[in-house]
Amino acid sequence: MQYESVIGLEIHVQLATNSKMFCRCVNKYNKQPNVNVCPVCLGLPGALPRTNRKAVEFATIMGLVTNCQIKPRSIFARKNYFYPDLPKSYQISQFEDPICQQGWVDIDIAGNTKKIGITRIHMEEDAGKLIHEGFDQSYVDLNRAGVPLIEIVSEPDLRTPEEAKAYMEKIYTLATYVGVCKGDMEEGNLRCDANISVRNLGENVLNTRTEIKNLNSFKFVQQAIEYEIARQIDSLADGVPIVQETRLFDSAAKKTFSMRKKEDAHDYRYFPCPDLPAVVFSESYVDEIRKNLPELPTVKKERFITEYELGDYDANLLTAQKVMADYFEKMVKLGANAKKSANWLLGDFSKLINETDITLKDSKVEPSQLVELISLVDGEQISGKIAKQVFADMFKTGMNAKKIVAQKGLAQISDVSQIESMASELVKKHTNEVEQYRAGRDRVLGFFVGQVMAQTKGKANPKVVNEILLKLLKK
Amino acid sequence: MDKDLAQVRRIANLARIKIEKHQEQDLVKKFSAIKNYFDELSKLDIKDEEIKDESNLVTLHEDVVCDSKISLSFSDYLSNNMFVVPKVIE
Repeated sequence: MQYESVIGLEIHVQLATNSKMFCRCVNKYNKQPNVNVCPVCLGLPGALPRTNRKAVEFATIMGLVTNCQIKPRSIFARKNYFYPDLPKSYQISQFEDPICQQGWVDIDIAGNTKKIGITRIHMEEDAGKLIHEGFDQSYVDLNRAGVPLIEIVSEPDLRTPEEAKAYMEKIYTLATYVGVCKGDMEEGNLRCDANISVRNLGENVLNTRTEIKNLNSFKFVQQAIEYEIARQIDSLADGVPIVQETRLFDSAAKKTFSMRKKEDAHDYRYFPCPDLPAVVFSESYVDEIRKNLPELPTVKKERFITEYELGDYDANLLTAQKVMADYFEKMVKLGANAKKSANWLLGDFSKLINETDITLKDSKVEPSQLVELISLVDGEQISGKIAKQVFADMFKTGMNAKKIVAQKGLAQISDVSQIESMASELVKKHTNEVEQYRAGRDRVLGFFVGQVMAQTKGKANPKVVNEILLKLLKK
Repeated sequence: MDKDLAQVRRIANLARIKIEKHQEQDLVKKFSAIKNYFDELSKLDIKDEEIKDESNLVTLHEDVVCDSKISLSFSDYLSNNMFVVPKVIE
């Protein structure tokens, strides 16, 4: 029996507002518990919420960039459930009348484009955090309670874990591009729930699904869905029906496990929030936001290909993150060659970023510093090999390339007489290799180049070294 | 079982309210009255009534931080500035 999976994602995006969704407490992560709180987000009796205007604007922006219909009138609803991280015993969310609906985004999968439908985007508030310590007590930190969120609900259009990951990455890219979300995954700025079911290949039914909660990285989304699909297929093959349930992903074991069954499923008793008026705006408000949208990744990518003559692959990687695209353009504006800038950013720079687990935004190297490094290589003041060493130092210390080169004596040796004398000595010393070269083994040249480079600690100008050695060996 | 009684029990269950057997019929009566009122409301002909929506964005709060500096001393269940609750893991 051949199966196919049916996947839908609910992505929660924390909005990058200054203040919370329904009060004016600061919307900022704080290690100190319960310091960003007020009577509204603590849910104290009598405290009344008031909607954050910027959050409405951000939700509208996100609706526009995901091709949604923007509803000029949307309503907040109370989603009731008992849990200690929710001080009011209800979450203010949107139910029947969300701010955006019926949108779509394109994702790229193995060179093909696939359209993924978006059912709705609604605004809501985040819950607080529970810390479980000891045997019989939990601790509640409400700094996060009331942080503005939008929930982006996809249609069940995703078929593979790779598509789900690509879709989540697409939403991340869009949300960070337009400045709606800071995009710090470790702080939970973007997290998702995945709904998964399997069916016989070719069928058009939606079978019983499971929901995996709180996936906060692209890798985990893919791994959790991979595991869950395999688990469901194994169950069906063994004749065990799938139970509708909520599951959690254990990233260490790379497995999902049951959290609660259908019979425990919540009845949220949604009803319109009597404390908040409907959010109402005009068509001209939406038009104004549309007019001021920044350049989106797909448009930027095409521009990079035509304006900077980059390949599709490089342009795609450079525009995947706005911070990377901006960095690249700053370098080009400062006079650096586009292709060389792309190579540095996508090569050594990205490698060090991945290895050190810091973001480009937090890197110590400014675009102007990398431009200076490239100019040192172009001006043959340092070799490409030494440049990599210098860059590693720049990345670590934030120092300028010229200063590192001067301090460490890394300037390239282009002095012909110095290299010539070194090469002559080598040719005299290694007569066997010289004979081999003259007998037609061209590769022996590399041996001599390597010797010169070793003696100069990689500082000799490779072009000059090659020219001199060729002259001496052909004598 | 009477439909309204079943609904009263369900609402009580969802709201975590314990109701005694002798209270049920009274609550059913009150619940039916509320439902009847909504039935009356739904009979109103409002198809020609226009919802006069005007932009209310100006009434929403500006995205400017205001520190409330609230003291949590009202709570008897604080430990290291965190609220202590019975352990719940779901």
